[in-house]
Amino acid sequence: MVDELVHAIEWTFLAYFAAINVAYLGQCLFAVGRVRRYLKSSAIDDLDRTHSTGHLPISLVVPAYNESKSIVTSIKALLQLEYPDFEVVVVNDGSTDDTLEKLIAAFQLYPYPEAYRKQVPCRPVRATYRSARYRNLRVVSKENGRSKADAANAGINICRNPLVAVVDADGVLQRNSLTRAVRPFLENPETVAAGGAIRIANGCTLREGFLEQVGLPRNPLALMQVLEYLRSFLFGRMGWEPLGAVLIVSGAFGIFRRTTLIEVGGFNPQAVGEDMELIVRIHRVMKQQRRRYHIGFIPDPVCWTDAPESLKDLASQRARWHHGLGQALMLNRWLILNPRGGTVSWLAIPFYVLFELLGPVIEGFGLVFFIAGAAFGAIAADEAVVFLLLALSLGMLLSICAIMLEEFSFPMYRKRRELALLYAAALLENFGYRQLTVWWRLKGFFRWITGRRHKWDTITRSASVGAG
Amino acid sequence: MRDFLFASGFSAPASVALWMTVASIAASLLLLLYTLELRLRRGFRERRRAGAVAHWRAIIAAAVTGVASTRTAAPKLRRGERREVLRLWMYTRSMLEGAAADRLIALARGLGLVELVRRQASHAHLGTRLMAMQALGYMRDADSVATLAAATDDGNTLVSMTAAEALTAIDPARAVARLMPKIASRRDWPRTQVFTMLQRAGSALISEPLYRCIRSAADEDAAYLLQFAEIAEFDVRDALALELLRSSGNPELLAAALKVATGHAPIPRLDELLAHPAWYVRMQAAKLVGRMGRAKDAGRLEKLLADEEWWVRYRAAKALARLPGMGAADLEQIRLRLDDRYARDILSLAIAETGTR
Repeated sequence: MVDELVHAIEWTFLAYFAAINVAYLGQCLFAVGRVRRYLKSSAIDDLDRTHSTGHLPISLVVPAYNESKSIVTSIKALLQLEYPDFEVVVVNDGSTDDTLEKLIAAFQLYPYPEAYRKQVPCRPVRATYRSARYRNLRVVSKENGRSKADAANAGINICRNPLVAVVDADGVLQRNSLTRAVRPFLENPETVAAGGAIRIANGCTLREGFLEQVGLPRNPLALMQVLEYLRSFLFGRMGWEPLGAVLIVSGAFGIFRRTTLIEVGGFNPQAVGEDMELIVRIHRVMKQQRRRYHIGFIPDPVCWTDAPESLKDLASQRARWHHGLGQALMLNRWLILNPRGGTVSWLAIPFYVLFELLGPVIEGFGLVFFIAGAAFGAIAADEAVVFLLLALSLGMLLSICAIMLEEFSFPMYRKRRELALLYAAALLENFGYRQLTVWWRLKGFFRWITGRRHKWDTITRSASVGAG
Repeated sequence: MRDFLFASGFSAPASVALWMTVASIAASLLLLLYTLELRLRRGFRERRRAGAVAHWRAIIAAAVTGVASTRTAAPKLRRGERREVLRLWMYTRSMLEGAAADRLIALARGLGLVELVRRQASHAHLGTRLMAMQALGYMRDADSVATLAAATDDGNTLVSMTAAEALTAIDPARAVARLMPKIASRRDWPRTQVFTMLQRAGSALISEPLYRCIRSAADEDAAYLLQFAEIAEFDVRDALALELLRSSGNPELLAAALKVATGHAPIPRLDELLAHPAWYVRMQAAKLVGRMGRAKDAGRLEKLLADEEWWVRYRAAKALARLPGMGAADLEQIRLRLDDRYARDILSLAIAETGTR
């Protein structure tokens, strides 16, 4: 009886492993196709663009809360982006440090009676400023809304251009990020939102807010995250793009049609993962209204972001992401297996529920089951080892797929040592790191289930970002 | 088979897990090798490219400055270098006009690049085709006009637009006459790109064909074409705008005509246009009043400050703040007598933006 039960559970795990890996590898194949098409079309970039001034004006909205250390460098870098028509709107979300004072001094801001229409909800604005030095820089000072979403909404109300890019204040953009990010909007007029690949800035050298040299972090936690980002962006998101089912545009850098943002009500300040919730909501609203739309994703690395280097910060971030995932899916549950929802309802959402949301629960249970089974003699020890080895080898296969895709598309880590380090991380992440992330995600899962509000955290920044 | 599969003595699920493990490790190793191969190939390509670029950059620079005889100095172009050399040539050519450009074109002819890009102009690969068509424009290759003209009818926006730009570079007068009737029907062509293309052809060349096209077009097409009248000669712009403002009832056409009117000639039906039911007509009328720059129009603009549409209020306020003789004290006086809160806010914004403080 016990044997039969154990075997039934073992078969269930095998089926789950097979399904999850077939799904991920399928995504990888879609991503390869997408990258090939993208690389072919990017040959068009060789053309002389002096003829082609087909750009759409963009407003960069930069929510900032207690970013005193890096805000001036970050905004100076944004103002130097290579794009013909853009404005920068910094939203100081009631910072308790001297973020606003630093901005006022560095950019010669003066109070300015901005006349705007409040089209998406946000906490009251205290003052608006304009720079005497840069015509395309405005700063909004508002009451703290206890969320990035609220600050972004204030920026959306105030900005004037048809495209709005929401950028993290500590994010590092490439000089040509906007030119690249706007491509989905130029190529397909039905595009309402687009994101690009985000990479880890830890270990990179920055100069005046721009990336000078790409490198891998020394911190092992950050190194593991490099691999996770490669997996997540290179096939996790790009694989969904050809299916019209991108469910996340990273909060670090996302670009949206302003009219769409207003139509769906802007970012949700109550959402823990406001970036994902917004995209899932856009899908829902568009599907409900039976409208044609497109959410694009470009494989180019457009933004470099700082990854947490301490266990505490990382644990908190992962729990928050998982909580946000559950909440975003629940808030937009209309999409789940809805006959009108197409690939989003029938492929992407079930995938996210089964493999992402429930993934840590199943993986955690499996880990306990096999270890405890072997300890109590219900499973032969060598058989338990085989199952654990399977989990390890499949995890490694996915990471190696991601490294291959990186090499195939936009290789950033050019040194042999860096490639070796990535392979080492692909192996070593399975011993401890992966189990820890399962634990942190489980905590996020239970936080979502029990409806506990997530405490907002401040991540300790690595020295490389925001410096110089 | 069964014996082989379960030879380890494992249970069925464990045996399957074992084989899955073996398969995934094998797949990982294969992918690892493939990644290494990708890296080696990329390194080789990059080194070859860098060598070719260094070699040909010197030759192209010599041709540009006229230091070297373009035909004799240039060694034979190797097959593998063609793409890089063409790219380098185009990059250099995009920055040059006059005698230096002529010398560069002579170099391209000497190297056989013209024949190469003629063949590539109908290549199946989009990037190659686009690059070739642009190169034909740069090379001012009159023999390719027929190919390029046919490509302007291509359904692909990039192909047709690039062909149109190349034609304009080869023979602007004939290209404008040929393309002008097409512009209204090719709404997929990016406006700014069309604008730049016509601007390069020059206002003297485009004015007459544009006037004829607009006068013979249906309202919708005329409204679309009118935006390009901004680069036509002043008298043609005003003639077109005033004729349409007098005769048309189509709001899109009226807005377009208001946009191109220079404001030097009296505008017919101005008050009617400032109170037009379509907000974009009111907005363009307010902007035009600003361009006309007559202090006596302050009252007209003041009424629009309380308009229900933000853009009308904004443009009216900006126009008001820029009227001649309108100082900070005058604007403040107007602001104080406004009853409407939105009107006061928008005027404060315009005062701050124009720096009339």
